[in-house]
Order: sequence, then structure tokens, then C-alpha cells
Amino acid sequence: MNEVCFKNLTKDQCWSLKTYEASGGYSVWRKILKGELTPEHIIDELKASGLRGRGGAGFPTGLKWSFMPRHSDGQKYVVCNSDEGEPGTCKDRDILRFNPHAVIEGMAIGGFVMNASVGYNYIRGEFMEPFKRFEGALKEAYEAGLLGQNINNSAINFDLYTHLGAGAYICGEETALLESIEGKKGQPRFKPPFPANVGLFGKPTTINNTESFASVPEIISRGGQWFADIGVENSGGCKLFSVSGHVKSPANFEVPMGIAFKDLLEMAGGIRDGAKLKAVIPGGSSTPVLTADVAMAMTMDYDGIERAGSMLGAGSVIIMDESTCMVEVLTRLAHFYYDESCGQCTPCREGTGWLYRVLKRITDGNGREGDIELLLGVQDKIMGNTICALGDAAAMPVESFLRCFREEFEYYIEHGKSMVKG
Amino acid sequence: MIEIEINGNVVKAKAGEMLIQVTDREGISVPRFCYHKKLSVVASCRMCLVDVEGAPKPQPACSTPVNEGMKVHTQNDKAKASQKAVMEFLLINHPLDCPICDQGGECELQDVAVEYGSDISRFSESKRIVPDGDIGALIQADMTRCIHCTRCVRFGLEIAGMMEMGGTGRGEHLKIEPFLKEGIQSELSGNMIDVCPVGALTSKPFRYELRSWQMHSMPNIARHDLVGSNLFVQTYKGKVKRVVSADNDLINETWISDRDRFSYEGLTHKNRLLEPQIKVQGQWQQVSWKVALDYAVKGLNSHVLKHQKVNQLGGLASSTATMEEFYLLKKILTEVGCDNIDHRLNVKNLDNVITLDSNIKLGALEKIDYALIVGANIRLEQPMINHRLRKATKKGADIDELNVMAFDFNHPLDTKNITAPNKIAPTLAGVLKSIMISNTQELPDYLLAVEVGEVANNIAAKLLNSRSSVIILGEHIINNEDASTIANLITQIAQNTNSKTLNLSITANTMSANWVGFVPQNSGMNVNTMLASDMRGFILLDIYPQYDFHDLETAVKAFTKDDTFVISLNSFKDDIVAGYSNVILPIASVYETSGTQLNINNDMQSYTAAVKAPDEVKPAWKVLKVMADLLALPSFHYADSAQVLAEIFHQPQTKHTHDENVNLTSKHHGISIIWQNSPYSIDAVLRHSNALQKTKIGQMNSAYMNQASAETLGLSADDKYLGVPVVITNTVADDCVFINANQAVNTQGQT
Amino acid sequence: MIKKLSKLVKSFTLSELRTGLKITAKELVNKKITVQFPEERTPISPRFRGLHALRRYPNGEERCIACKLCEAVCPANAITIESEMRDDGTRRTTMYDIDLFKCIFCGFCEEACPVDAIVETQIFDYAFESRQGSIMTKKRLLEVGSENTQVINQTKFEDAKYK
Repeated sequence: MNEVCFKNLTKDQCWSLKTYEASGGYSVWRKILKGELTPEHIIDELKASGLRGRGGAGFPTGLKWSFMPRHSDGQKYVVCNSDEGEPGTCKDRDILRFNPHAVIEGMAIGGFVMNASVGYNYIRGEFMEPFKRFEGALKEAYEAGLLGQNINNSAINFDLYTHLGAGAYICGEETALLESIEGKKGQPRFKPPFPANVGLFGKPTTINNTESFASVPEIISRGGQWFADIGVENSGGCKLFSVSGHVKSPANFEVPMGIAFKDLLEMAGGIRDGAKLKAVIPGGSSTPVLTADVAMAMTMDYDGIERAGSMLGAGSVIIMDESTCMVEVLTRLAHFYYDESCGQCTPCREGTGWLYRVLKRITDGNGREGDIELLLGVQDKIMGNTICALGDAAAMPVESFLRCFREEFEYYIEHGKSMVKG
Repeated sequence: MIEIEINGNVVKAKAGEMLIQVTDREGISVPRFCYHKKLSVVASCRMCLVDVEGAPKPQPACSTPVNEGMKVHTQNDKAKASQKAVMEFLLINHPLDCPICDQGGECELQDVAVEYGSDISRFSESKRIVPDGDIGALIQADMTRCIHCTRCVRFGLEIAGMMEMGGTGRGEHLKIEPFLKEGIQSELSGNMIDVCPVGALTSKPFRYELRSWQMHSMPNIARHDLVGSNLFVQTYKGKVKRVVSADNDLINETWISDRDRFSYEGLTHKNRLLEPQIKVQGQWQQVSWKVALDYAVKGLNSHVLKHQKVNQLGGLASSTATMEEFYLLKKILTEVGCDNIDHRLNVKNLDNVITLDSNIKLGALEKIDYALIVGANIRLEQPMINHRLRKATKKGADIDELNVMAFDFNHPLDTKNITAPNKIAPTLAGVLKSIMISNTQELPDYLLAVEVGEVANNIAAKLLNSRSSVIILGEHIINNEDASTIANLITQIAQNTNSKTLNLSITANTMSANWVGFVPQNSGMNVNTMLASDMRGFILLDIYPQYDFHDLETAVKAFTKDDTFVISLNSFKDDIVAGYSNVILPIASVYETSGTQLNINNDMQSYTAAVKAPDEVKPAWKVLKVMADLLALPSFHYADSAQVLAEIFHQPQTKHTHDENVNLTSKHHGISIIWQNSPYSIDAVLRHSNALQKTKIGQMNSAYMNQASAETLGLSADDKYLGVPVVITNTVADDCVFINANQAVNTQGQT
Repeated sequence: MIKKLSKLVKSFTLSELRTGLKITAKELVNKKITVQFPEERTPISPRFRGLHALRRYPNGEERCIACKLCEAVCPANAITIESEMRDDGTRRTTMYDIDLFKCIFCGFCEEACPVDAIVETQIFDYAFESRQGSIMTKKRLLEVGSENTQVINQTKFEDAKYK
């Protein structure tokens, strides 16, 4: 536990450059500056490590980095997505707070591999403390001569800038994030073209999650195979899980991939007040909900969770005990997406509002026969028809909640009150 | 060329073009809202989702590039399901107010809903309501109807060059609205009405008057600028009710300026002149055409012809006349035996006129890489030409200006060279000298003493380095003391750098006037000579002296002389015209007459009357023809204006010879005044268009000068100069007052 | 010969007259079916299409919003509407004429109306004294509507369930 991103967690001033360097930090970057590592070697190590994008989509990082046209002319960018807005997730916040230098080193390595001399770290608007920490770390790194132009006479340039968002969930979507950095309204772009070809300011850009970047230095210094061996097949390494909800001690846990859900729940102290588990959202609010039985038999890795019928997502595990009214939870989630839809494309703009209004009507006790079919119909029409994944994210919980807990919705509609709360 | 398969049929396509371009070309209908062929793609409405084999999700046709062997289904279950889903979402918050919506009947949402919508809505929650503000005099906003396609936003950003509309808020609260309180003020704003697929943006002057199906649409040509934009005039019961743009990629693409779109309002102004009038013993009488024409002919005979004073008859026309009218008026005078004709009413010194050919087409203008603008506020004076220049800048062209004032352009300028009127010719001479030195040519004598400044060197270098460049000469030079020198210098610079030239010092239909030779030849008198000599008769075609002449007093004095018989052909009532005329004949205005316009491309565009002129009003070409008949002049046998045009074609085209002298000795003294009618005051019908007059451009009425000039003239910011409110700004060059007036002034042009 | 003979017998015995009088006698005692128009009237279907009327809302506001759908649908081109924006910003007619000489009483206008403004009443006994009288102006149409509010509401209510 806590071997990669959180390895200095217990040390004093773990976010300082001194602590980071004392535990071997910046050794990879220094090797690069000395010319001892090649981009090809780094990509090979990353591919061997099985590191997959920690932001939610799970795209292999090594592969993603190899897509960048590194030999093409012109500016290229590397962007870190620290706009951690998914309900239930708080891992990037803690990486920025407790190990900011790993992110800086990871981004610098990424910049070297992809021949990008400028990096941006887009930090969520509400993250005031992490923002300051990261800025402080950036200052330290610059002062230590680890960043800048022609670093240590290596002819390598890497400038890193922090960009504080303004509190929009949608800016966690990579192209909306790029728009936001460009100073425009945060609205996703349509793809193709993908950011690897036309990204920030129209230049090739690679965007990775904070955790992905923070894992890179350790992987390169200890070898890809070492990392891969921590996890299970197809899900290399360890992963930060943010366990929240009805558990005794909600926290972030950096654990090997493939750990049983049971054990993770145990680490978080089990269900609070000795209640029984009812439902689990394993990967953040956009991923399908799972019932207790399915969850208890599940292992926490990409394939394990997919087999259970959900997605690993950003690794935010939301635990709900038996006192939870699923209709109200879904209404709350629907309100979140209704509020956070950017409004650019039709199905999401209109559909999220529709879903929320119907659910609100049900929880107000004015449910009607046919509402469940209506909800299913609307979510089906949003699904797959939108520019970005927010539409899908809004639709997916509706489908899974209605599939797993349909009787609660039927009860609410019929009786005008919650089955659980009475 | 590649081959793709759409709905089972193999079609050819260009690699990399978007699917919707292929389907549009092949006539396969794919519903869309946000896609517009002239705007960027955003793929946000999701209406054009189609099924592409191999893609897990439906793909938007507007943003999916075609690939070899691609198989697309636009009408299969998957595609239809997605399209219907999007349609349902679009309709849930769209109000059901089609019966009172001006877009009803020509609404893209209605049309698509017929095919993809369902008759019963499953949405039973309350609909979104968006409060509207006033967004200007031309466009009515009903934003509750908005479907957020952002065509208007993109139009503002990409075409009009000013982002006046934008989206605020997010999700369901996304609201398309003007950012500024003053609303939409762009000179191309009316196009937002055309691009809006629903009734969110509709024409304000047209509001609630008619339904789209009630009107007849007639193709016609805009007559207020040098472009001759193609448009449709929509009429109902013999009245013009609305004007919309027509596509013509060579001329106006799909856009028209607000001036062309809303000028029709003037046609029904209460100031329209509806009946012929004659002045008998100082009293005006409304009479029949026969009486009026007899009176006019008798007057001409008794004052001019009988006394063998043929040479004391003059014919003047405003630049808005049609080619046929110019020709017929000229022919009458020629047949009578004199050659006193002119249309250059606002030129102070006709020995010092601009002669410059335009030799670049509109399409080529957007491909230039360098332009030099000399004396033009091109955005407001020629909006559609400026649009092409703006397109060029978007592709990287540099534009420099040599203007007396820093105007508000909607494209970036490389350098703003604010130059006093008396320094323009020397600067251009410097440019020419610099170019000739670079080309190691022998310098002519007049350039030897010329100083080459940094500005001149800079411009010369850019002209020499550019692949295709253009030099644009504008209206502000007309009355410059060096006008002809400036034009000649530009001609020489263009010749030496292989540049094109564009003469925007003229406007409206002046190209036609030049084509038929509506300027005095040989012994004929020009307008200024006419006004100064003892004339006995005038035929004036649509002239309002307080706007058209550079010197009102001299003109009125010449017309009011006791023994001068003045026949005025006008479309609007005017006190000054009534003051000096003996006969006033009501003539048709825009869209009421057939005629021909010659534009800057040298496209000769003929149009027919879209409506019959009201009451007793007749097309001017008919009036002139009948007048010629009554004067017993031979060979005026025309049944329609097309026969006149046919005859014009058989005339030898007038060759203009002009001197190529360059005279750099300064003739300037004191402060130069550049008087310009503001863009919506350039002709009579525009001056009577209520909505246009209410806009910010319509209200432009200022005399701009810098502090030094103001002090010299003893003026302060609260004063008026020549009746126009003074604005003191340091964006104006020295020794210069630039006046943009929407009013007539008695002492116009006099210091 | 025999035909001629039987005809002669019939005419002498007044048989045809008696046949006729038989009906007269029968109707003398039967229930009367004649009504004394205009004092008496036959019943009319609520769907009857008679003289036109323009309705108002209960608060007195006219219903018509000048959408001109009736004008568009009218197969006889009997309707002429002119409209403009009223001072309060609503869309209203300035002229609403129905030419009764042209009208064929098909009822399409009523069906096309999105706000149930133009209706056909049960009035059929009207007359005009001049040719201009055939034009039902907006003023007259609204008058017909106000005068017959009750009947119109009643008949529209009765017919609503079949629409």
C-alpha cells in the first residue's frame, strides 16, 4: 500500500522538494537531462508497466504518448488534467497536496518524451490549497534549476504553468479543458481531430490525469515490470481509490490493482454503524451502480469491475448502506449533471434537465405511471448522441439505478414516498 | 477523388471533405441546424447524426470526414433513431407558438419536425422561458425559441468580425444574447436573421406583418453599393415587405449588408412623391402626367430650344440612377444638341478628379496577401468588399491603411498610418520612389526631390514582397487637393509592383455612368461649369442637393435663377427641390423599376421591377422616353428597358483619356474638410428607412478633429461645426476635419 | 279498348280524388311536422356550419392572433387578414374580412385555428341589403361572437369529444 504516488505520505513536509529528492525524486529527470535516457526507452517502460490513464477512460499511457507526432515541427504541449470534478473523487487533490513534485517530474518526463517544451497543469477552481502547494513546488523546482530553458545545459526546455479553473465540471473533459486554457468558454470540441493532432492553441497536445503523471517517475526509476507486477493482468500497478460514503473512515487508498472490494471496504473500516451494504458506485458518479452482492464478489481492477457490470473510472468508490433511498440518490446525481452540462449539444442540454425534472417530480410525490419507461427512453436517447462523455455519464447511472433498484422507483411512484425512508 | 457508399449508392467525394458536403451535393437530405456552409463546424445540434459502418456511435455528418470505402446510412433505423431522439430534445423546450412566430412557414425546425418529430410530446414538465431584451432596431429577439445552434454567434465571430452575440450560462441555462447593452450594431447584422434556423432572430421592421407563404419572391439587385448584391425582394399586394439575400458566390456569397436588406422601408415613407406637380405662378399644382409632361416640354422649348440656346441646357443625375436612365438622359441631351451632362456632383474641382481602374474581382480579393487602403472607411462604405478583405486577413493577409482617421475595422491592420490629407500624395510618392529605387529604375524628375519616410519604405517593401496585392482608393480622396495625383501615383505603384487596384472613390451605379459616358465630352460643360454659367434649363435625375452637392448654395442659386427652367425627377418630396423646380415628376425608386447595375466586378446585372411603383409614380426610363417623344426627338422607340440596354451595347464604349500628371507641389492650405454622408444617408431611399436610421450607424453624425485643429478652428467639444456636433479625438490626422453626417447642411463643404 | 273503358269507369267514380283525399284525411289527424319559422325552429346539430364569428377570451381579449392559417387553408380564398404588432407587443389583426359570397362554409377555417378564434355558428338566417354587406368585417365577426357566446361555448363543448 502507498508505494507510488503516496510513498512519502507519512514523512514530514512530504510535499517539499527536499523530501521528494531524499526518496529518489527527480532522479529520472536528472538522468534525462544528462542524456542517459531516450524517449523510446521511456515509452517501452511505460508500455511494459501497463499504466492506464487514471482519469477514467483507462487508455494505456505508453501508447498515448507514442501517438504524439514528436518529430513534427512547431510547438507541442503536455497538459495535466487536475480538474478533478467527478463526485466521489479526491485523489488528485491529495497528490497535489502531498506529492506535487511527482506530478512536475512526470510532466517534465512527458514533455521530454513527446518533445513538448511547455506544459500546463489545469487545476480545479475549488482546489485553493492544492493550487498553492503546486505553485510552491513549481517555484522550488524552478529554483533548483529543474525546469526552464536549456536546463542544466542539456538543451532541454520545459516550462510548466499552472492554470486554475473556475469551477466547471465539464472542464475535466480534455477538450473543454483545452478551450478553458485558451481563455474560451469551457465547451468540449468535437473529435476528430484529436488533441494529439490539433490540441491546445491548435498544436499537438497530450493530456493525462494527475495520477498518471505522478506515477511515471516511479515507474521509470524502478522499471515497468516492477509496476506491472504490483497489479494484475491488464491492470498494471497500484491505483488510488477514494472510498467515500457510509464507511467508518473514508479516505484515499493507494492499493494494488486487483484487490478485492471486500478488502478495500475493510481498509475503510467497513460500513458505519454496523449497517449492511446496499449499493456501490465503483468509479465515480458517472459509472453504473452495483448491488451489494455483485460488489462483494468483485475485484478492483479494470476487468474485474467491468465483469461486475460497471467501470473503474477514476477509482472513486461510493458506498451506500441500507438507509439510502436510491430514488433520491439518482435525483441528486441527475441534478448534478443538469447543473454541469455545458449546454453546447442538444441531447445533453435538454436531456439532463428532462431527467432531473422527471426525477424531481417523482421525489416530490408526483410520479406517474410510465415515468420509469420515460426515464429509460430519455437516457437511451442521450446515450451515444452527444459530443463528449458527459451525456453518457448522465445517462448511465439512470439506466443502472433503474435496472438494479427498479422496485424502489415503482414504490416511490405508486406511493409518493420513499420505500426506504417511508 | 474517392468513392464512398451512402445508403447503398456509390458516390464520389473529395478526400477529407465532410460527409454533409457530399450528401448535400448528391441531394441526399440530412437534417441539420448548426451546420451552415459558410460558417465553421461545431457539431453541436447533433441533428445530422448518421450511421457510419464500423463506428459504434452514430456520427455527425457535418464533422465526419469521408474516407475511401466508407459506408454510410442516413436513413436506417440507427440513424433515424438518433435523429428522432435529437428532434425530441430540441422540441421539449421549444415553445409551441408557431402561429405567432414570424419564422412560421419558413422555419427549419418546423420542416424537420414534420419528418422527425412526433405528434405528441412526452414532455410534461414546464418549458424554459428566456426573457428578451431589445437587441437593436433591426433584429427582434425571441430567445425562448432559440435552439442554441450558435449560427448567429459564429456569424458574428467569423463573418461580421465582431462577436456581438455570445452564449452565457451553461446547460439548460445557456442563453444566446448580445454581450453589450447596445445590442447588435454590425453593418451585416441582418444576416443573423437569415442564418437563424428558427424564429429566435427575426426582422424587426417586418414583425407580425405577414406570413412567409403570402409573399412573392422576386430576384433583384441591391443598388446601394458597388457590389450589386443579389437578393430576393418579397412582395405582397404590390408592396415590398421584406428583402432577403440570394446566393451568388461570385458577388455576395450568401450575405447582404443591412443597407441592402432594410432600405426597402423607405419606399412606403410618407414623404414619397406620388403625383406629378407643376409650379404655376409660384404655386404648386398636382396634375396629370400629360399636363406635367406637356408643361415640361413647353418649358424646355420656350426657355431653351426655341431660342437656339441649346447649349444652355444641362442634365445632371445622381449616382443611384440605372444604366438605362443615364443613357436616356444623355441621349436626350445629345439629340437636342448639347453635351452638358454630369454625375460627379460632389467633386469640388473637376480638373482634379480620380481616374483609376478597378481590375480585381471580388473573389480574387480574398486571396490577396497585402492590401493598402488609401482614404476609405471600407467597412462602412463598402461592407461586402470589406468582407472579402477580412477573409483575406483570416488567411494571413496584411492590410495597411493610409487614412486621415483611425477607423474601426473588423480585421487587424498591420500599420495604421494616420496621415494628414496633404501628406497622402507625398507619402505615396515616397512609396513609388522607394519601389523604383528597389527595382533600380530611373527616377522621373518629379520624384527626385521626394523624401522617402519610414512609412513609405515599409509600404513599398510589403508591396514588393507580396505575391498578390491590391491598392484601394477610397471616397475620402475625392476632394483632396491632390486627388488626381494620388490616383496616378497609385496607378504607377501598381504597375511597378504588379499590384491590382480597386477604385472605391465611386459608389452605387457610378460604374454604369462611366460605362455609358455620362460625363461631358468635347464641348460639353461639367457640373461645376454648368452651375457657374448662365443656364436656361436643367433636367435633374433624382437629385437632393443638400446631400448630393459639395456646395449646396451655388447649386441652388444656379437652379433658382428666374429664367432657368428646372425639371426634377425625384422619388421623394423635398423642400429644396420644390424651391427651385418648375416641374417635379415622381419616379420609381429601388425595386420599382427595371434597370441595370454595373458592379466592381464589371458584372452587368439587370433586374426587373419587383413591384409596381405606387400611385402615379413611373420608372424614370419611361418618363425620359416619353419626354423625348414629346420633344419630337427621333429614335426613342423603346418598349421596355431591355431594348435600351441592347442599344447601349451597340454604342461604342466611351474611352476615358486622362492625364497621368503627378504634381507634388502643395496646393493645400489650412484645414481640409472631408465631408461624407454617413453610410445610411447616402441616398434618398436609405434616408427614409426608419429602422436603419435608428441604428448606431444610422445615427452617426460627428465632425471629428484633433485638439490642434479644434483650437485652430476655435471649437470645443460642445460646439457644432457646419451644423455637425464636434468630436475631438486624437485619432484624426492634423489639419483635417472628418465629418460623417446623417444630416443635410446648408454650408456643406465651406470653411 | 279495355284500357279506355276502365279509365272511363275510374273517372266517373272519382276514384283518384278519393285516393288523394285519403291522404289528406290521414294527415288531418297525424302529428304535424311543419314548424312556424321563424317563431319555431328545427333542432340543429352542434356541428352545423353557419355564419362565422370571432371569439374572445372570458377576460374580453380577442382570441385571434393573426396567424393567418385560416386564410391559408380557405379553399375559396374568402378570408383576408392584415396584421401588425399591437402597442402591447402582441400580434393582432388590423383587418379580418370574410367574403360570404365566396365562402363555401366548409369549416376548414375553424379547424385550422390554433386558438379556436374563428368559429362557425348555428346562425343561417341572415341577409344583406347591399353587396358590401356580404363582407363580414372584424367588427361584425366579433359582435356575432359576443352576442352568441353562450351558444357557441355550448355547441363547441358538445362537439369537442368528437374532435
